[in-house]
Amino acid sequence: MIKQFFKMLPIETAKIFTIIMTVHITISLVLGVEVISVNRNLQLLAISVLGGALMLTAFSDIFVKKISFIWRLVIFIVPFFIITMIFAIVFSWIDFDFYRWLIFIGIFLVCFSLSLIIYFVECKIKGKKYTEKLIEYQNNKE
Amino acid sequence: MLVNVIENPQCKETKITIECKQSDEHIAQIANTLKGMDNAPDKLFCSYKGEWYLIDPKNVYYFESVERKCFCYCEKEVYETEMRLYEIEDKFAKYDYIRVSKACVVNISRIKSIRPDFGGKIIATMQNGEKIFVSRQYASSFKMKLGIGGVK
Repeated sequence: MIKQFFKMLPIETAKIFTIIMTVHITISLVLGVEVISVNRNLQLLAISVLGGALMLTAFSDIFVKKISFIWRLVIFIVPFFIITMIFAIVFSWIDFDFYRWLIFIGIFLVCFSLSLIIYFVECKIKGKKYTEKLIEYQNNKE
Repeated sequence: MLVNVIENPQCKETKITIECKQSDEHIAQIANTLKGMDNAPDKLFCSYKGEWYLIDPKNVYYFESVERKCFCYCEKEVYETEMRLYEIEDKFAKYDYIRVSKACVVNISRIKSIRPDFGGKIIATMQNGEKIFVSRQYASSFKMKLGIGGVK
């Protein structure tokens, strides 16, 4: 179980790191930030590792079995949101300004929603392709 | 009921004799089942609520092994079979059965649709609406069988 967890962890970490870096670079470009520090990159990597671990815990069958998708979402999003907030406070990602925090939470929720939408659309497209192949196989066998 | 198996190297044809006080429905059922087994070697011998049935492998949706017992799932009924999953795979290799997890063998011809799931798994929806998970371990061979791709 633990072996499988650590085998899959780098893949999930890489997925989250890609999303976080894309968002971070986009926001940096919009705000006119030209340099991203090594420290900030390491912080984002650390949060990606924790996010990857949470993804595996919530969405794979390694630890949690036979629960609904909604509960899996809750298991992932609540701790990940708390971890992100802790990182933001500890590493001073944002100034103590209410509106900046509101924007930060908004970006977090938008990114999360977008990731979910992309995931569902991808599943739907692949599912259609898979089912077509299945029907083709069944017709050939008849 | 006493069951005797007598091995005789001189015997040319297997013979089953039922010795009873008086023939009744139960005896007739046993006789019919035995005749049916002989006429249909490709059928599955399964039990359901204490009675024995011969099941056409084409009508089976999937087999599942639970606590060392093997169950055979048809459209609505669930039968129990004495066979193990690997025996089923071997004996009915010509049918479209495929292993989808350590404990499950599915009849491909009874799958209605498939879609990918998180963590490399696949969800197969059967014609009766039941959902079967193809584990990550078996997803590649499952996809290859259908010509979708997968790692060799």
